[in-house]
Amino acid sequence: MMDDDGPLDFESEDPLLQPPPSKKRRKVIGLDDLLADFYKEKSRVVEKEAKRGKATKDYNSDEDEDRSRKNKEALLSKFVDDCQKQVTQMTTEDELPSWGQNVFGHQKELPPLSFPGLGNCDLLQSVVKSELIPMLQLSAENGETFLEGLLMNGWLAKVVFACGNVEETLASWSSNLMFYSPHEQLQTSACEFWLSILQSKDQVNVPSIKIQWLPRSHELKAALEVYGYRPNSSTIGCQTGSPLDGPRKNIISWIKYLTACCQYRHVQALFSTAEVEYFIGVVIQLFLDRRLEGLFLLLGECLLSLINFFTDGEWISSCKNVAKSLAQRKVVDMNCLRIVECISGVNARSKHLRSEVALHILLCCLDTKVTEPEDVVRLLVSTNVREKTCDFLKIYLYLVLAENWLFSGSLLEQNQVIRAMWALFLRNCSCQITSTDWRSYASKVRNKASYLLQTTAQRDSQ
Amino acid sequence: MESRRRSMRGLEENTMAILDTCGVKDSRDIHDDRLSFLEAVRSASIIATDATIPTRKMFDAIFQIFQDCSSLELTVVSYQLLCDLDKHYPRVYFSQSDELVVVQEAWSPFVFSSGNTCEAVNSLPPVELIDSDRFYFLTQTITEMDPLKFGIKDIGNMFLFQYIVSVLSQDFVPRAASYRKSKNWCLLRESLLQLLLGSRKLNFKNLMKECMSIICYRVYGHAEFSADLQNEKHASVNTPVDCGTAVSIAMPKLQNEVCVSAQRLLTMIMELDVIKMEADKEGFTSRVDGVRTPLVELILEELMYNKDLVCPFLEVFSDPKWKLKISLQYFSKYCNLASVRTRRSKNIVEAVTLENVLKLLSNEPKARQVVKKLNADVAQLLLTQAFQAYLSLKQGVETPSTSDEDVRSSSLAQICRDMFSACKNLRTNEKLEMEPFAKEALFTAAAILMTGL
Repeated sequence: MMDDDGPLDFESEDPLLQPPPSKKRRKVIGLDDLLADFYKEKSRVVEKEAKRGKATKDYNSDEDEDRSRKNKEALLSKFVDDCQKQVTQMTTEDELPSWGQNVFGHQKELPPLSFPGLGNCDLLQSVVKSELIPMLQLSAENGETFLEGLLMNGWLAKVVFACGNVEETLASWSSNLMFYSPHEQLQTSACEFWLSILQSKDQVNVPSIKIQWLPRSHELKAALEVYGYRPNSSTIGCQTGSPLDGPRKNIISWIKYLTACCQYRHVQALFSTAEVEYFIGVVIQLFLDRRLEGLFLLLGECLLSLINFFTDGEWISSCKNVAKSLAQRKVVDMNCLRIVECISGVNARSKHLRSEVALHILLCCLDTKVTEPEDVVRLLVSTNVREKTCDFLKIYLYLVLAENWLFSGSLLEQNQVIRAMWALFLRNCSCQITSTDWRSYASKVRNKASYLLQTTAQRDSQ
Repeated sequence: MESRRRSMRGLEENTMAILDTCGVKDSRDIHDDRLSFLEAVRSASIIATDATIPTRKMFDAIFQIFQDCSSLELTVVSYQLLCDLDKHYPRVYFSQSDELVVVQEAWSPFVFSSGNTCEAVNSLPPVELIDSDRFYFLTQTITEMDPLKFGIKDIGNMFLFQYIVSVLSQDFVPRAASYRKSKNWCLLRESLLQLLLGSRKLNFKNLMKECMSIICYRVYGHAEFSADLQNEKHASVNTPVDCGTAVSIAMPKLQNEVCVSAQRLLTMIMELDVIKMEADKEGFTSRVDGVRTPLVELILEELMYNKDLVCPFLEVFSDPKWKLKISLQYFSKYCNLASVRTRRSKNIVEAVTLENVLKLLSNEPKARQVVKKLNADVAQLLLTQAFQAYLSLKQGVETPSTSDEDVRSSSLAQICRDMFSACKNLRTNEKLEMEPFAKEALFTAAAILMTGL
């Protein structure tokens, strides 16, 4: 226990956590040093040439001199450029890359949120006509405000449950609020309204409400577009600054609604399997956006709900489709790992998806056509970690991806050959990289491999 | 068994070694190591085909990372891991033969006996498990949060509160269910909730007041926060350290969830109170169980003392069963409902039903009396909230099992009709326009009547 009386202070900094003064891992040769060296070397050459030139050629036209000077200038500037590139490369290598991708760009214009005909909807009209409430004066104008009140205070759901159906005007009005309203309470109430409708059922699991219309994949996709979703952007941290950049807060309602829609399958499938495959891709993309980091759990729940949508028969092929389409990013970076690690693996399907996605991304990183598990592991074993040009970031990615592929499935237990080769790969990584190797990720690869080697050995000894 | 224990120790050593900070490391390395540690635990304890529960030391480390809040990423990942582990390895559950199993040696974030300090794990500050003091401080910190300066620390506190309530509830719910069958009070005496509240150090009343403010805060917090969101929109998102946008996007949702957790805590305590009173009567309880004012009384007292709280509290508090009870008992304090006796004479607290209250308020002179004692707005508000809770129970949307006999036996149509006369009588001046919430309630009543029940 630290200080019993002090308030809970999570921010108080622990001295152990203070980053030690960042030490450069290698001696950085500055641009100036390089230039000085270069000039020294060059001036010697120039002198020598000048001497030789004087000896062999007696004539020197201005034109020639001019040309040779220009050549030298070009040569020099090219050299300086190269040096500069080298230097920047050295400094960026020290900064380890991190995952992250701005999945949302510029937001599009919102569709109109006001519904002029709303005041004339059946529900309002029938109650007004009944004259049960004499003091209830509703016109077409204040009808919308009144409905908003009903929605926000939870009455609308009660009314709808009593009537047993949702008329189309109300459905499209409230779904618009859910996806687009900037009013915090309106959009969350609209979302809760829809969730309660989708989750409604009587004792025998029959929905107690007839829904004349509800947002489906078309509306969900349209909303994504308005939020500025751009699936194929590979920019990490492109410049933000415009207030219109980034996801809308409504994305939370969007995710919740999508989650509920998948659970509605016991009544009626609202999506085709291809659409659900698409949405799995979208949700995994959303995991990559740092701005949605706080929604980690919500996204996780949504993903589970999406993968539970399929019947057992559909699952095997859909899982493969999802994995393949995710691997099409064709970018080898830390996002590859994030994609795999955001799949929680809490049930059989989630494990399966994790394994499959890891495999396909691994294949993509290896840039290979082989698909037989044994061949894939063989390819891993053939990478030489002792080579000077070895890219340890890549090896690290291979290692983690392969681990997830093998451990989330049952290949390791079933296939002796794979197990032996996997152990060999781990031994290569853990023993052949010297502890003095200063290259980025070398130590990470070594540590990870020895951890895996030991846990595998323990499992075998059990 | 021996080999299994040895392999567990091996796993612990290996996994804990990931957090080892030997050698030159910067904060980024520490961050990465912690993430790898969490991933390794997930892999070994959830994903692996022969998954084993993490050891106490490993649990402590996860909880430390969770509390340390060094980054949003670590906080959410460790929180999710803790939740997933709880689901995978429940501390209390029903076996297949429907018997209650309590895993005595299971790790929990609580510590109720002193002297249980844990050593620090490598780079992490010493683990601070939760006792009643810390829990009280936590609720206080949450109510005192400044909506204009939300940061990772606040997010961490809110997740921690949710986690604690979730652990309490996973422990309480199966025990309470088992009590209903076996009437064995010991099950609840040993529940984490009873242990937490039973601590002599705890000022129960203050803790409950804080929880009520968390609930009411949601209403007040909204407006201020939306303004803040606009300012933070420009924050850049490139580095993991800077997470202004991520915080502002997640915050409203988190506030909501914390509010739901606070409600869950209050309802659990009220359920516990009911069970305890029953056990008291049967003579199962003893001096060790302590004395505590029933929470319903505390809430009523607070709402009667501070009438401004009635609206925000009941508007947000959504458990229909307790919302109905609270609003009806509030009425009974002001109306003379002594003549109403319940059929089940066993109940100590007289059950006031919505029917009785409506009957009373439909009588104009009696309604006038109530309005005189209680102000008209509060009376209308209580009535509409009770009506809404009643509808939730009647329609059986939220919790079909909790609807009690009074609700089931009543006539929905009659209640709707009585709502009109009661609301009319509660208005002091007929020329004044009705409050929006009363209008909405009557609209609902009208719409229900029109469906021709």
